[in-house]
Order: sequence, then structure tokens, then C-alpha cells
Amino acid sequence: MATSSSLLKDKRGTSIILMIFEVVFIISVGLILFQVTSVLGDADSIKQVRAAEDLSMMANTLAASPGNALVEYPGNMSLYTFVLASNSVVVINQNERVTREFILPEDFAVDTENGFVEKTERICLNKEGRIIKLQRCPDVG
Amino acid sequence: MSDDVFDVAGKTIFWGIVIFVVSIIIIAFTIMISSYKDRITGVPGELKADLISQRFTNTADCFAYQDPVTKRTHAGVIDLSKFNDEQMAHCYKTPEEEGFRTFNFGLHLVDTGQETKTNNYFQVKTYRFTKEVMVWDGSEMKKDVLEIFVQESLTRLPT
Repeated sequence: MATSSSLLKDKRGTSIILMIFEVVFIISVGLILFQVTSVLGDADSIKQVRAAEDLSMMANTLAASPGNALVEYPGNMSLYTFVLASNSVVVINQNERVTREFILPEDFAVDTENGFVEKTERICLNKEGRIIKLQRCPDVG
Repeated sequence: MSDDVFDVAGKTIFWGIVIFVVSIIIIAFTIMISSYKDRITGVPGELKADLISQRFTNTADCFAYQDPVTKRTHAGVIDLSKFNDEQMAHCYKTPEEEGFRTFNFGLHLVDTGQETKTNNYFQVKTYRFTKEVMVWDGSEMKKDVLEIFVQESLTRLPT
């Protein structure tokens, strides 16, 4: 049986090792590119970023609206967990967190105690007086 | 034997170069996809600034006139007595330290000549909106134009 050093001395052995290396290298490059594409180009993570952007803009818009308002975010949001903090909204999907900030007038408050909505299809932003909260949308009809 | 050694050395150099080039390609590919993702998820600054600036004219927590008797807020009517930096701090205040990294606003009433600004506004005008408004000066209502200068996120404080 040939040892590794005798395999390297042998021309045939060297080309076998190089061929194995080439195959492993090509598979590794393919896997890395596949991983990069699937992590960065994932439709769910794009939807997650957009949800965080939209909700922060909705909070800014609600602060400018007179009276009470209830706004439903369009689309199925059951993949994500939402946290509404005093000046930011966080959208969580598995281990990835996306945070977007907003600035409310001084007299406004965010209902942070109930600002946690986990994997629900329909989410709503609710403005009651000067309090903004994130909640499951109420069933209509 | 000596040819074999050169063959192995040549292949090692070849694979060294290949690994280097492929690494560059992977890094470039990652940056490309990442910037594409930023592009399709990005929201134009003008839209964000416009949505924030709605509050200046629409809510009594900012500059909108509120009838003291009925408590009705008149959207689009600016109460001149509230049009100052103190009220702006109640309406829209960015964090003291890092607030220049977000939107800041400078407001100017064209006919009345009165101005106010947010706490981290340094006259860096990224863009400008105008809104036709009414101004209540305590005795009469006048037409005016509100100029809103937007200072979008700055990377560092201007010198």
C-alpha cells in the first residue's frame, strides 16, 4: 500500500491528488456562490426589509394624521415577528433582524408593552389619540 | 523526476492564481447582489421626507392651528404663534448626538418671512418642497407658501 509521501513522488499519484483538489475546489466555489445568492437574494429577506421600511414610514405618517386610524399592512406576514419600540420597528425572521427608526412628536407614545406581534398573517398599525400600537388586525364582518 | 517537481510547482502556482481570482469574483458577486438588494428595497429620500413633513401642517402637535374653543385642528393652517424652534422641538426632534445622520428640516414662510428649523439642521439643503398654506396670525388668515428644506442623512458634521 502506498503512503502519502510515496504517492506524491509518483506522477500518477500527484495527478490524482490534484484532480481531487480540483473537484473539491469547483464544488466549494459552486456551494459558496449558491449560498451567497440564496442568503442575499432571498425573497423573504427582501420582503422583511421592505416591511420594516414601510412600517416606519407608516408610523411617521400616522403621527401626521388627525384623529384615530387603523392601517393594515398588505400581504401575508406570517413568516415574521414584529417588535414596535419607542422609536423603531424591528422585523425578525429566524436570526435576521431588520430595524428602521422613526421620530414621533414629543407628546406621542408607542404602546411598547403590546408592541410584539409574532407570526401572524395580518398586522395593523393603530393610532388611538397620541398612542401608536402594532397589533393583529381585527376580523371584519 | 525533475520534470515532475516542475509540473507540481507549476500547478501549485496555477491554483494559487485561480484561488485568488475566484476569491475576487466571489467578493465582487457578493457586493453586486448586496447592492442590488439595497436598490430594490430602498425608498427614495424625497418620499420619506415628504411623509415626515406632513406633520408640520397637519397636526396641532406641530404648527397646525387648533381652535381653542372647539379644539378642532385646521390642517393646512399654520398658527404663527407656534412657528418657532421650541415648538419644532416638540414636533420633530432628532437625537442630540447622532441626529445629523437622519432627516432634518428648515422651514420658511415666504410672505411672512418667519423661519424655524430642527435641532440638527446645518443648512445642507438636499432638496426643497413647497406647500401652499394659510397662516393664522391671531387676528386674520393669510395665504402663504411654506418652503421646506430637507437635509438628508449627513455622514459627518459640517465644519
